[in-house]
Formats: sequence, C-alpha cells, structure tokens
Amino acid sequence: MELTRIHPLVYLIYYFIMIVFAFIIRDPYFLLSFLILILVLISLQGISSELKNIMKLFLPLSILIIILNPLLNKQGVHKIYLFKNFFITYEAFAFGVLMSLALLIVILIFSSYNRSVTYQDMLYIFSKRLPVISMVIVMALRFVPLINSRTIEIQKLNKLKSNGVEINLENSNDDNNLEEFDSNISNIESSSNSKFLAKLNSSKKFHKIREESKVIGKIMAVTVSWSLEESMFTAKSMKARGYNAYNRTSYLSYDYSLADIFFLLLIIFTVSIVTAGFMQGYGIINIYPSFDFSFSDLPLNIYYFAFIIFLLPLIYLEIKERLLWH
Amino acid sequence: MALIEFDNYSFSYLNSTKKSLENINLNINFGDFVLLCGPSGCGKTTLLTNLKKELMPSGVGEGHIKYNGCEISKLEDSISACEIGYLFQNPDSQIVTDTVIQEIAFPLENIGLPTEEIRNRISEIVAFFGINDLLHKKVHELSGGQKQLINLCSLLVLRPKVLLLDEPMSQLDPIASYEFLSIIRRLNEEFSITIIMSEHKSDRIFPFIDYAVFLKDGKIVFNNNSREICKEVINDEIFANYLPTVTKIYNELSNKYGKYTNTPLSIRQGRQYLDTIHDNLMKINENMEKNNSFTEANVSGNTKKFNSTKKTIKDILPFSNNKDTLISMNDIYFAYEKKNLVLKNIDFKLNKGDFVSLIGGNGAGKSTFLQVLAGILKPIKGKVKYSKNLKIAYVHQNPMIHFSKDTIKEEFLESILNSNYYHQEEFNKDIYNSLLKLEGENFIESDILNKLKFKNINYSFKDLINFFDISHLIDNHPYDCSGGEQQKIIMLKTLVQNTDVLILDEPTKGLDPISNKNMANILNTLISQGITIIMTSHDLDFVAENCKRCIMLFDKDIQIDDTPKLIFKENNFYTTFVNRMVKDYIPQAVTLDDVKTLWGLE
Repeated sequence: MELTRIHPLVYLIYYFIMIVFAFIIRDPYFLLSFLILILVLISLQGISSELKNIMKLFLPLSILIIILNPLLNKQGVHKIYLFKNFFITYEAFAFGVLMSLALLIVILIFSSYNRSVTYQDMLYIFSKRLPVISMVIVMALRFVPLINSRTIEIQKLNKLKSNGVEINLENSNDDNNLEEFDSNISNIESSSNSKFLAKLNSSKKFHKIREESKVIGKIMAVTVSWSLEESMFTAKSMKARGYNAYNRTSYLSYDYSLADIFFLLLIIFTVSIVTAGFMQGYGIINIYPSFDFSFSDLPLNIYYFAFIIFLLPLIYLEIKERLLWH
Repeated sequence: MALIEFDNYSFSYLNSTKKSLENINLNINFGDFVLLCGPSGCGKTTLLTNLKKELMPSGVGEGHIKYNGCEISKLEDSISACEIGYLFQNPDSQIVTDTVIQEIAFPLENIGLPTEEIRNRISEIVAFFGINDLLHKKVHELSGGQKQLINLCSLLVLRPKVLLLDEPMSQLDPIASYEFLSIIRRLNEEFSITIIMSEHKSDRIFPFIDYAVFLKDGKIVFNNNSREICKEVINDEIFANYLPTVTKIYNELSNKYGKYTNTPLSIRQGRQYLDTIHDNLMKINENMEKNNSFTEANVSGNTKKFNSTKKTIKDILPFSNNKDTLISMNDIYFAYEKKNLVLKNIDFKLNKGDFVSLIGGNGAGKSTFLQVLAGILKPIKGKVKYSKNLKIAYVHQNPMIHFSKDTIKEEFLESILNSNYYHQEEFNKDIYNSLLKLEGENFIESDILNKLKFKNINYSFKDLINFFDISHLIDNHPYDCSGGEQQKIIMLKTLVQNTDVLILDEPTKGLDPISNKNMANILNTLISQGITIIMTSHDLDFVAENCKRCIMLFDKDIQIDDTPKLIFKENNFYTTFVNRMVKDYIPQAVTLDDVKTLWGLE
C-alpha cells in the first residue's frame, strides 16, 4: 500500500491478533472465511514467487498432517472402520484438517505481514527499546550478502586446485600419483591413530569425502578470516563516525494519523465482540471427545460478523487504492 | 593560525623500537588541499590516523599535534567525530548498514540528532550529489565508485571541516576515480573543506593541490607547493617518479630548450609549453622523417600481425595448428544470467611467451574473460582448449583471498607440497614440519628448499625470494603485507608450483610508482624465462611500457588485438598521458622512453 500509511505498531498489533485467532479458532466456518479473506488480501497485495515456493513445501506437509493425525491419534467417539480391526476416528480426521487449515492461515498471515511491514518499520518499533539489538540486526543484514559474495569468490579459486594453480589439466597419470602421495601423507598422519582410521583412509570413498570436507573447511576458514580482517575496518569506520559516543536516535519517523486511530478503534471494537463470542463458545468448538458439527448450522450471529469485519479493513484499503490509481 | 599544526611530532607503534613518524613539522591552513606521497609503509596512514582521535593507533607519541589550537587527543568527542572525517581505502569494509539511506543516516543517529534534523541533512546531501535514485538501494547492489561516494556522503552529513582521505581511489577504476576526484575538488573549492589525501597517481591531482608532502621512512623529505616541489625533486631517485607525466616530459625538454615561466602540471599547460618550442620540435620531426622512414614501415608491417582476430581459412584447417598455442578459445559465449551475455563470439589464442594485457572500460568483461580462460567459469557455448600438461595460475584481484595459513613460509611450504616435487625429492610431512620450525634467514637458506629445481625458472628458492624482495616478510602473517607484497607472494607461490601460464587480474591496482616499476621488472623477467602472462589493467602507462600484445574488449567482443603502441597511437581519448601530450608532434610515442629516443633527449 502506497497511498495510505499505517503506523507499524498498529500493523504489528493487528497481525499479532490475527495469528492468535488462527490458533484459537476451531470452527470450520470461521476458519474457512478466515482463509478466503486472507487469500483475497494476499492476492491484492501481490503473490510473490517466494510465497509460491513456501506453498510448494506446505501442501505436502498439510496432506501429511491430515493423513498422519488420524493414524496416530485414536481419541474420539465416532469410529470409522477402514479394515476389519483397523479404525480411525472422525474427530482425529477433523482435527487434522482444521489443524492444517490453521497452519496454512498462519503462513499466509506471515507473508502478508512481510508485505505490509518492511524490516525497517520493524526496526523503528524496536530501535527505541532495544537500540543495540536493532543495530546488530541492521549490520547482520549488511553482512549476509557480503559474506555470500565473498564465499563465491573464494569458491571460484577452489575450482583451480591449490590456491589458484591448476595442477596438470589433462594428465591423468600425475593425478593418480597425487592421490597416492596424498594417501601416503594421510597414512603418516594416522599411523599414531588406530588401525581402523588407517583402513578408512585407504578406502576411496572415505578419502573423497575427507577431501571434500577439507575443501569446504578451507573455504569457510578463508571466508571467516577475510571477513574478520575487513570488519576491523568496519569497526574503525563506526568509531570514526561517532558510534557509541551518544545515545542513538533514528532517522525514521512515523506519526500516528487519523487512519491509525480509526483502525485501532475498529480492532478494539471487533476484537472485544469476538472475544465475548469465544467466552460463549462461538468460534471454538470442542473436537475431542466428540465432534458435533453440521454444515447446515450457519453461524449467523453477531460474533461471526464482527470477526468478518475485523478481517476487512486492509482489503478495503487495498481495493480503495486500486480505484484511486485508475 | 593554522588549522592543523604538527609540532616536532614523533610516533612509534607499541612494541616497536622504530619510529613510524619522526620529527614532523607541518602547518595546514584552513581550506588547504594537501597531497601525501611516499612509498608503501612510509607513514602516510600513520600520519592520517594520528589526526583522528578515535583512530589513533596504540603507541607512543612525542611532540604535539594541534587542531584549532587544541591537542588532538584532548579534543571533545563531538568535535573530533563531526569536524574531522576519515575515509578508508576499501569502499566495502567501511559500510556498516545495508541500505544507502541508513548508511548516510548512521553518523547522524550516532551523534543523537533529532529525527527532523537528520532528515533535513540527508535531503540536503542527496540534492547536492544527485543520488536520489540510489537512496533506497541495497548497498551490495552498488558499484565500487558508488560505494565510495556513499561513504563520502556519510562523512559530509556531519559537516566536517577536515577530510582525511587514505588512498580513497586505489580500489576504483579510472572513470570512478575521475568522478570521485572532481567531487573532492568541488568540496575544496566551493566549501573550503580542508583536504589531506594520500595517493600514488599524481597526474590528475597535481594541477589543483596547494602543496605536496613527500614522506620517506616517517620523515618529511619534501614539503612545498606543487610547482616548487617539481623543481626540487627532479633529481631525487624515488620521488621523481611521483611527479605527473607532463612534468617529467617538461623536465627532459627544459634541459635542452630552456625553461617555461611556470612548471606545467596539466596536459593543457604542457601543450602551451610545447607551443613555445614549436619550431625546435618541428625541426626534429623533419629530420626524423628524412633519416628514417623505416619506423613508419615498421609500424605498418606490425599492423597486419594481429589485426584480424576473426578466423581465416588457414586457421580452420586442422594441419595449421600452431604448436606454441597454449590456450585457445573458440567461439566462446558466456553469461551470468539468462539473455544477458557478457562475452560473445570470442576467438582468442594465447601463445607461448606472450605478455598480453586486457584493457577496456569498466564492466567490459575483463575479469570474466580471464576466469573463463582459467577454466574457473564454464562458457555457455564454445570450448576452451588447453595444450597438454599445462599448468595455469590465476591471481585474483584481491590477493588476500588466496591465503589460508598463518605465516608466509607456511604458504610456500604448502605450495611446494602441492606441486609434484615428490617425484624427485623426498618431501613429506616430516620435512614439512621440520622446515616449519626454521625462522627467517634459516628458512630461506635451508638446503632442502634450495635444492629444489623449478620447471620454468632457473632460480633457486633463495634467489627467487630475494628477486621478489620479500625476504623480510617470511615470518609475517599474509594479511599484514601490503597489496603489492601479497601479489608478489602469490606469484611466487605459483612459480614454485611450476606454472606455465600466469593469469593476473589487476596486478597494478593500488601500487605506488616504485612498486609499479618492481612489478614491471618482475613480470618482464618471468617473460624472459619463458612464462606466459595475461593480465588486465587500468594502468595504460604500465601496459604501454611493458606488454607486447594488447587486447581491448568492447561490446562483449575483442575489439582490437594489437601491440599497445599501435592501439594508443590510433586512440585519441583512451591513451597514455605521454601520448596525449605529444600526439600532435609524434603520435607514435606512447611512453616516456619513446619521447626521449624520438626527440633525442638522452
């Protein structure tokens, strides 16, 4: 959303409550409406390839939950016999389905949250309370791509053996000798160790794994020592620019706007109604020991509608933004 | 009153008896532009870090340094942090945060300014430098030049009075260096920011500095304004190399044809001087043409040699295979990502004994070319063929990443162990360990190492070490060596592994003029020993003086493949400083030696 600015703290509260709801609610109608509205919101925010990848992972997982839960869990009153003596319970099956639904919703909430609140907004929320931690996070975010590109460069060198020199490009004879030589060395190394190790060393497969792990270890060692060396300069440059001399402030600024207040009021209003509904059992259905639910019982009550309204504001803002752009 | 005063200042590092700075007396006024020059390890960085309280190295200082009348070590935190800015060499390692705006805001957040003030200052600096587009980018997406610019911005938001720049352009390519330098000059001219900068390449800086300070072994050897210092150091063995090319030519000419009112520092002033002795020069030219038209003939003969890079029918026929070809690239295509070719339709043959340099703009694919040639990157289409038993060595732009051991002697031992000496010598782990215990001279002189014979080099191990001039480093940690020294160590490491082809990525980067000459000397000796070298370089003077064959990459392909002399003779903009200056008189002169011989200035 670019045309409306909502305070990151309001977002944080809103999404947090959503996640809590996703864990509490066990009513199929509530959950299905929840899923549909979140899907609408996500599709309005734009589906990323990242989400697609997560879904590819999640779908088999959810099927696994639906299958495994009734197999492992025999609680419940309604027994369904698949074979002579083998039964699953209707409750366990329903629990599996609702569980995986809830999990799906939580994943979708997280990816929607990522699109609404950038990590900079998050930093703003935390920087006042936890300035050191937020600084560490920022530096880590800088460090990850840096160390990545460094590893790539070092890996390149390792494609040529021994520090950038390729040994005998097209001569297999010498390669054999080299291996022999290597194993000689390793034999000398292990002579003090147990005979078992020596045996392992001579076996070719182990030798290969050993060599590979040596290479990886070396790449890691060089990456780390290079990074440490460079980070001394980072530290100096931080110090030179006055780090730790005063209390830090932040360049980010967010003011609460009228939209934030309306949003907050709506959240408080709807959430209190929905919570009142929970107290009376609406939205939370006991699955064990007996799951009594029929789809003909439409939840046409004030608690359900409050829940729907709770989920609508972001969708409304997104649609409104589309209209404004056109 | 001077802004910065050095009063008989000496400094020695902790646990070191040697003085890194000795009796420095120097006054720097408000708004001065000072250039620090000197060979690596002469104390430039020590001098600069001593001016910044936060970076002051641990050690003992005698005498006084005063900033604005106040001792540096007693400056208030806020004054030291804000008014004195320090820019490091490597653009990457100074960056702390991950987005540009955060990086610029970082120092302002540190000194605790309110949010509104921070945003005002950022908006001001962004408008001044026109970096609106970069503001929300991630730092790792930027080029080296852009990173250094952001680092500079991050200092400028604090509104400094003094900028200390420690070889800020050594890691940048020439175009980025131009831009960076013009910004520095603007800051000095328009905002009167005092600038103290250390740099090796003086050609572009000399015309607008106020004065230069030449340091040697921690002492100030010369300290004068730019024109006077040119006169003073003419006969100095070391510092004559630090003068701009134009001044060097002027010095040669003025002995014969008389002095000009001012020592020329820029090409423009140099050309004005040449105009005053126009008649004399034309006379030489006429004589030259009469005497020997053979230079021209020579040139035109050479042109045919490499001119056509595309295949002729003769090349395609199988029996015409040249035995001296070590590596051949046929119809190579390469790309890092889909539909974004970096190399296209490359045909290239590396012959034995070649000394090839790759030149071309930034991002022309020079490094990629080398990595494909070395077999590090696999081409998408086409094949790289190697002759039998060929050993290739590749030295990365950043030599640091080649090292994995704690000392340099350990690095050498590892190389020797890795090479196939076990054929001839009993070089096993025990000998390795016993050698490792030796120190300094004993290690270099040890019999086992000096008995070794290297395939391509007729030197013994001891001679090699002395030839590369690294005997004093043998017990050090590789990271403690300067960039040039690291380059040399890696090259030596590859030599003891009997390499045939040396592939060097920017070996001249950040070298001072003396090291540059040493490097040229080393490479030329290796060539004469029969090793083949291919390298990239931005240093056109180095290429013109040393290489035998020069390849210019342009638009993903080899544009020109010829001798450097011919390429620079034809070029107008992308050519050496010497050639730019004397182009109208003797277009074939591309190096100082050329000018000397052609104009008879020996």
